[in-house]
Amino acid sequence: MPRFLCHLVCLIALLLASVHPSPAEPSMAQKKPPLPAVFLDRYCMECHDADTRKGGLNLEKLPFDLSGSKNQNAWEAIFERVQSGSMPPQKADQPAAHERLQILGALEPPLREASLLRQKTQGRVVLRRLSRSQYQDTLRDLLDLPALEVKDLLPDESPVAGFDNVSAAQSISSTHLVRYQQAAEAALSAAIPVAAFTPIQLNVSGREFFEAPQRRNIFESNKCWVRGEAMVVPANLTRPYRTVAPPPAPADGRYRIRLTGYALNTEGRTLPISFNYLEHPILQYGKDLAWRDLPPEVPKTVSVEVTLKKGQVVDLIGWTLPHISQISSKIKDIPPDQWSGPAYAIERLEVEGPLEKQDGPLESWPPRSYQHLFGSLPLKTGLELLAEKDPKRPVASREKRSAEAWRKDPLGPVSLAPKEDAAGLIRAFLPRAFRRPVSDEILQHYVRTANRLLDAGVTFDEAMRETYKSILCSPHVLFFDEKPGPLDAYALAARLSYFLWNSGPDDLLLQAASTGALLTPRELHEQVERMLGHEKAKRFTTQFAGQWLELGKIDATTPDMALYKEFDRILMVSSVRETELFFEEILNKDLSVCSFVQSDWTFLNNRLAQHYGISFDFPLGHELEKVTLPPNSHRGGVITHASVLKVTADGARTSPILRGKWMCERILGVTPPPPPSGIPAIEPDTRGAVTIRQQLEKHRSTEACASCHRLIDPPGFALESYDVIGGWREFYRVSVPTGKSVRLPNYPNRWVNRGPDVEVGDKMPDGRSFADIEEYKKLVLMNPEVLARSLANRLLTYATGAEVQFADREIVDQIVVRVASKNYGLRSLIHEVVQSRPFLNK
Amino acid sequence: MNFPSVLTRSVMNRRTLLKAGAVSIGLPLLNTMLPRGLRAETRAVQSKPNRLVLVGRNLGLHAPFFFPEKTGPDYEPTRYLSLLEENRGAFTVFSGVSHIGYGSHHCEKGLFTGVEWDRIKNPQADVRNSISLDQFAAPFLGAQTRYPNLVMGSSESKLSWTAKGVPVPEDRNPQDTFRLLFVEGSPEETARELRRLEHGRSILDDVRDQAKSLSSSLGQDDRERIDLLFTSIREAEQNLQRTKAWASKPKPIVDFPLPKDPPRQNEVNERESLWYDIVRLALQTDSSRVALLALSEVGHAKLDGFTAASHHEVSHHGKDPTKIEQLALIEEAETKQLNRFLTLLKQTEEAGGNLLDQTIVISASNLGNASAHSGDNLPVLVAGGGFRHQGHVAYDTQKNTPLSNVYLRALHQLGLECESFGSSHGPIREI
Repeated sequence: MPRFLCHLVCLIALLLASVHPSPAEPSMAQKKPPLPAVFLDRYCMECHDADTRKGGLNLEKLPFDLSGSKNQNAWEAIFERVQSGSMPPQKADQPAAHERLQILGALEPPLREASLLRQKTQGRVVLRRLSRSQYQDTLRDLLDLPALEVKDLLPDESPVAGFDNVSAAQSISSTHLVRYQQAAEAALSAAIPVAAFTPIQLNVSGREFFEAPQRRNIFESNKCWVRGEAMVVPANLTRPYRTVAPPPAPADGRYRIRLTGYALNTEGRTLPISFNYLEHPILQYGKDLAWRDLPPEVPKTVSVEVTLKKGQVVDLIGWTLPHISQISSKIKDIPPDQWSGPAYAIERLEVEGPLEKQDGPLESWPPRSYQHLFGSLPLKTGLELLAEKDPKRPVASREKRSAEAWRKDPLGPVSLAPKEDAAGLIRAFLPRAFRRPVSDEILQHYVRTANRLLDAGVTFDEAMRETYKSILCSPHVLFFDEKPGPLDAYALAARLSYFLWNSGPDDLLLQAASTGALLTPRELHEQVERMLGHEKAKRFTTQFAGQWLELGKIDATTPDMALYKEFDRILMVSSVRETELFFEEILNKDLSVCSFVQSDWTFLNNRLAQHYGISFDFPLGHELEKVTLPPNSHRGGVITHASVLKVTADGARTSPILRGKWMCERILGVTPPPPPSGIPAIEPDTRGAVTIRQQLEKHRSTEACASCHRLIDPPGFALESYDVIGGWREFYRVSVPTGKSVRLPNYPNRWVNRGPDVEVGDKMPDGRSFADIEEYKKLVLMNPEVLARSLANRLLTYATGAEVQFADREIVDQIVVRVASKNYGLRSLIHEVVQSRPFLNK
Repeated sequence: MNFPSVLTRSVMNRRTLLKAGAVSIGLPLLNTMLPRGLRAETRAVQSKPNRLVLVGRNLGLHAPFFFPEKTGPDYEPTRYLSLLEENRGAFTVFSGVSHIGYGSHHCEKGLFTGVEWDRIKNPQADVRNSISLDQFAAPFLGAQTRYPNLVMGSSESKLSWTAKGVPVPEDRNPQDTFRLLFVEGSPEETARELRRLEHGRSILDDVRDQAKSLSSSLGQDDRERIDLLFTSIREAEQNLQRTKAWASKPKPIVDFPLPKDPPRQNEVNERESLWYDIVRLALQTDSSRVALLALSEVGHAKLDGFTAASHHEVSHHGKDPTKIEQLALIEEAETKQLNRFLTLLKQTEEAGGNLLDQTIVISASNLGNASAHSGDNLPVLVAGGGFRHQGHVAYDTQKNTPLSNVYLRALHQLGLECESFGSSHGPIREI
């Protein structure tokens, strides 16, 4: 039969089947919607029949057969549209409430059954790969290499539902396979030292530090001087200057820097000291690692622990606020000890590292990264080995070797019984890498790999490196080992640790898995508590909260310096820190998820307080502290954090559409569909003639646009009171002179061109109106369950690597009910998620 | 003009000429200067290879400064086109082309694939992209070269895609790319590299074996993913095989210094000219015949003696004339670099013609108006490739012609007989 005839016949058959189901054919009968035919005919067919197919939906060709995922998805979408009331559209005939309930009641059980059946047979989560940041953290933990960076070697991830670890969007390509090999190789190179290093153990007075011959010149040219036993460093030197820099890090690892000192000439204020690192000794902007405040006149000891890569130099810089640019030009001509500007005095400086672990003692030799791979096998150079065989041969001491000598004759592991050692080392390493016990077959496979290389005449070092590389590229490492049905204890341990630590399980968690205890709700609860209290839980903040609130985009746009000259890096870094600390406070104190919308507290430093225009009757330093917000501060909740307000704007303008969409998706849990094609975007005009609201009116007055913009715009307009860097505003700033120049109250030196007034206020989708952000927040907080549901969905998605499915809805409902009785606490919510069916099953 | 060429492993190298005081700077290559190591000149004579270079930008070009009023070869040059005057006749500007229906953000993924907008429009959901022009052409054009294709440029642009809709990451460090193409390792390094490649293959065997055992107890969806993994393993093996075959062959040596510290993103002249030079050298030495260059936004561009405003910021100029002027300074710099590239290709002689005649260069952006985030009326320029160039071809600016039609024409010109590409309706006929 010609092809088109085939199609035609099929089409006719389908049409007949859907319109006139024949009871004689049970398979056809199954495809008929059980009850909704009348409803669909009356309310849907006008637009969604074969002729019109609005939005690509043709109900005549959509049998109610839920065995395939395509149909299932389509019917779920129909269910959701009818449930949310967005379909039928407002202009069309509206079904009575009972009709709506009836069709939903008829659709719900089969949809849930089909979804659940699919979950049982396939699992919710399609075979999931470690994301590139998970792979990096896995290697860091597995090899004790906190400074390891291999993420950028791996291809970018495509985020779905706001997260980069969602299985459905993960691609696998030949590039991935090659790049994982490169990443593993880089990790092994970092783990096996080729040169011996001497840890830094510096403990000197300021005077001693100043007078060290190799530094004195630099210090003098940088206008430092000595005052008693202290060394005084002027603040505000324009970067990049190397002011107070201890020796470079001898190896990757953690370093502790302890500084005893005080601030000078700061008019009674504290002076923030930035600890940052320089990649190159000079002329390169560093990265801020930490900030500590030094009090005026009275010495204080401050301590930081930072992660450094080999060769990086920590640099201590004193800053004054708000701006640094005024003083550096003056300092050139003034003799140092007559300097009357801000400075800080170092009475004592202690630097130690690399450290064995957080707050730990100095790293032993050989470093633990090496011990993980080679146990107690000695690490020697070729010349040292020769010298052992021939005692008369002279060998230079390790301390005196030059970098060139190490490069030519590097250290390497030495084995007297390579094959036996290889077998033992592989046996010890495999279960840690694979996150579960390993079969003898797999073990023998890797032992054979090592033996084959050794037999081919490759050195023990290279044979082991290659074998370890194979192990680190195994699917057992790269993929989550989850089988359909309930997760076994090891799979559960892995899922939990990637959720809270972004990395594989530690020994304690593996132990709880090996006894099976982890499968009990009680132990699971205990482990979550333990893990959230662990240092590695910081990654939950940076990964989960960072992606949820898009903090990673903080540096994605540069504010227009003509309009927002008061913006600086200190503000940017502080704003992200505010949100992270805020999140951790809610998590640790089990505070309500409503706090994300409204709170009477936050974390501020003096820079943020200035930016927010809030003054306190006590001095704030640069370190962030928890503060109670005064009334009328216009702040409270993450949605008024400068960080969030910056990532939801571009560098010059805010858009109520973008901010509104962000609020809908990230906070309220509603995903507005993308705009239909063919609709030109608004072309912004910053010359000040028209406001964004006037431009938007066009969008809002056409029905095609209004249905979504009714949802999107209100939160966007509520947030219009905040500018692109999160400052409070009553009018727009414009780029061309308007004749009305206004001084900013919190930045006395800043004048801006006053444009049109900001128009805030709008109506909620249900018609309730609000005048400003405060009123908007109150309306949102009337439905705390909406916020809890939104966050529960996010957490489930992030924790399992799969978006919430139809069968999960009832679970989410239950979770929301249960956390309601716990005041919607975030920590309680996390416990509920971990104990839920979707989390415990593939 | 600075003309750092080429190929020292030759009968007479350029330096000898310079030493002898000959003024060879800016002169076309003499044929005696072609490389001997790879016998590129012989192969070039035999086959006259077709080549394709794609240049993608993510912020468009300010349309009034780019598109001329008049159509045809006698257009009056606009501000930007006046910078390309020395190449007039060697390129065609197309106005009124776009990927139909493409919206505002997230459309760069489709710039060189031309898939239906629905498949890529929602970055929060499944992106189902299809193969990009460079990846499509690579197996046909690049089978005999060291690298079937090169994907280079800045981060996160995602312009090159495989048939399975997987983005191909760009090489972001010009120095690394230069090393891959032109820097020979020591014999020990080569031997170690060969061992490494060999072991790379055995790792892939392991991955396959273990994935098989993993898949035994999995569901249908998982097995599909495992199948994708198997396909990827096969491809990776083929790549390794190819790399291995080339690893022992000498690389062409070019008289061009190893790029030191890579230029920063905002050093627009240094960065773009370096990338263009690498592309040119790769074509000239027949190391690759297909290249994609992602030249994304430049930040606070460092221009001659001053630092311009942020490229992104001024591209969203909101009709502010000062910002448009600042934008124009950046875009002029970019246009000059493109002009320099075209000129150098033209000056490079090859088998009786020049390199530009054998190379289709397509420079395009996914935005027609960055300030309005509009994906209509894209700035598209096609150069070289042996086309009968028409200066300015204008289509309807209200009802655009699919850019895929231009791509399809290019594929035909390259000798690839295909009926469609992306969302093409049929090849354009004007050139």
